Amino acid sequence: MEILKINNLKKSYIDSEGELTILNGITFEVSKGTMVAITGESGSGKSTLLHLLSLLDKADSGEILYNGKKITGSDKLISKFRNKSIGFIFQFHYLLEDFTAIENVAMPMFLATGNMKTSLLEAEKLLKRLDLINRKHHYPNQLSGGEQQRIAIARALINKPDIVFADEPTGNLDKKHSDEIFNLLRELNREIGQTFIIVTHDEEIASQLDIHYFLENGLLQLHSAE
Amino acid sequence: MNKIEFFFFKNYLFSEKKEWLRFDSLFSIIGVILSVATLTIAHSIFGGYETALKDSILGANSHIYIFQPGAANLNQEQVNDLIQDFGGKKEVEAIAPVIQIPAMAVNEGRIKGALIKGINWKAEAQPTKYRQYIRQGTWEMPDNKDVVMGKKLADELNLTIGDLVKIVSPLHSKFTPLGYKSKSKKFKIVGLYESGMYEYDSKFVFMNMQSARGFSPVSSEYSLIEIKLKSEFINKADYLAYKWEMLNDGFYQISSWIEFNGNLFMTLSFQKWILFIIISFLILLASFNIVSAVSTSIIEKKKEIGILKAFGASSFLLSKIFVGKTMILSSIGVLLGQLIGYIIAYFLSVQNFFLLKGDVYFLEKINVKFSFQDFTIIFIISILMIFVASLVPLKRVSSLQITDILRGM
Ligand SMILES: Nc1ncnc2c1ncn2[C@@H]1O[C@H](COP(=O)(O)OP(=O)(O)O)[C@@H](O)[C@H]1O
Ligand SMILES: [Mg+2]
Repeated sequence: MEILKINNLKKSYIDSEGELTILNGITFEVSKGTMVAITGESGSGKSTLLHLLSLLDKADSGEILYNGKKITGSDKLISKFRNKSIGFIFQFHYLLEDFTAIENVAMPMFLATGNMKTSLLEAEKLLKRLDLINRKHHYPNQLSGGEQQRIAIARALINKPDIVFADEPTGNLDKKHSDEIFNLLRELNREIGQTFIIVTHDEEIASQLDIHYFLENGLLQLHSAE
Repeated sequence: MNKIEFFFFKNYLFSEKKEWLRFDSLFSIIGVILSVATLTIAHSIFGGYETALKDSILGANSHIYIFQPGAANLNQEQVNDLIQDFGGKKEVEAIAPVIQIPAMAVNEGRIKGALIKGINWKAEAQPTKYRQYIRQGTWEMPDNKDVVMGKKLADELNLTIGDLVKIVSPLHSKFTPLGYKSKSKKFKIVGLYESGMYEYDSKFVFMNMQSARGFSPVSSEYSLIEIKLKSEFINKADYLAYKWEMLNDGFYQISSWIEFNGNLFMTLSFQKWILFIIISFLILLASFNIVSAVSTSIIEKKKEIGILKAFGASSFLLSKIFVGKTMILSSIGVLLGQLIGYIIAYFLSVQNFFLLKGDVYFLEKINVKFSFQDFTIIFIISILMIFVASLVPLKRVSSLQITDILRGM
């Protein structure tokens, strides 16, 4: 069963120079538990695609089906679905600076349940799993880049989403930390069976994942390993 | 309060960063404190003035006066009848005849206009607060040479307790072979009277009936009868006066304090609320600072708003958080402003350095009224204005698109 099915997705932006078509009919499927890599040149529309898939933005036309179902309704309903079923890791950690590491991790669950106590307990488990427990009371600016991104990963996972999107999650990290993060995502994928869709510019990493797509001219193609 | 907002408020107030300590939020709160303090001072002093003036006017005078029509005096028989008649009425607390004669008080070449008040000081039930207003000395005037004098009058004549004062009545003057001669007599000051009303304290000279009659052309006559009403009837005095006058077929002229001073109090109360509205504009100005502080904070927290929205926070929740933060700080500001206002007003009321001009404003002392009702009104109005102001910038919160923020704008 495909967790995610995309049909002819289109998106263009209108700016001063006229209409700019970014995505011109994206069609693909993702089966549950796979790790998908998407690469492409800068500006090719990778982020745009990820935002559409994760329901942060709306497509001009086309279909996005989660487990065969279209997610429609008010912003609030969509927001609820996203909070529960989708995890997102950004290129920048985007942690809340006023809150400690553990509070940041707990936030999505807290927003969903309103229960800080259980959210913090759950966050604590995740921090242990990610070897960050001794950092739990640190504020983001007291953490290293790798630690910040791992906290952001923990935050993406706290609501046990079925699918996690990551937009160049290691774009700002050196090779060593970058490998660490990918190994971690790999382990999580094996342990919990979560589906990952990862945008990266690291060809080596992309080639190690289950499926590798390439975005070019608004279309998504399987990467041929020449 | 929902737990989620509460968590954000707690973080806002107690996190290490102390966001609220920043200049623009403190600045806008100081504006609130100052404007609310100003409103509190003005309102409590105006209210205090109103109350003190009413107290003094109603304390130094009685509530209902019975006259013989046409400036004539009441004779002993009429007075007896009237006391018989009115003394038993359920509205009446005290009733007594008074002799009033314009006079002059003289000491060592200083002359001041005065009003002789012949009263029955012995009666337990006095129609005025005569006894309570004795500041120094005694209210008893057993000797025909005893007077109780308004404190201001005594001060102006450089007199005090135990001194002698000459009282002269021009009404009762006559020509003698030695020239024009007024009725004049020396008295000993046994008490000083202070109602707070400049007009009374600089004029009244109390003496017993017999002494006062010495200044009257006709013996055994009274100027008027004073009636003190039970407190629950004080505000119905005009109605009672009218009713009683009708019941007596208009044979006597019956007036009330409301006829003499009612308009004054209505004007005062009106002015008090006009002033309140005008000063409320200061709070409105302070609210503009709040609008800009909230706007700034929303712009600065754009990234956080985007992140929170991406992770499931609704615009409504975020708006509540922004408004809540503003209201927490503003409530403290308003309360602080009220506290500071009351403290300053209190100090103004206990000091003797800045005084009002008694001949213009009736009272010299600054009085302050602390009432829970006024406190609540000021609090609610301030908070309401600030609340509305804090809603103005909220449109930005809901219009912020997550993807714009993620793209870094
Ligand atoms: N809101 C927008 N308005 C206009 N153009 C946009 C907007 N968002 C993205 N773009 C343009 O769309 C293209 C794709 O952007 P993006 O998806 O961020 O690419 P990538 O992530 O692959 O680098 C870029 O040329 C970018 O300038
Ligand atoms: Mg991108």
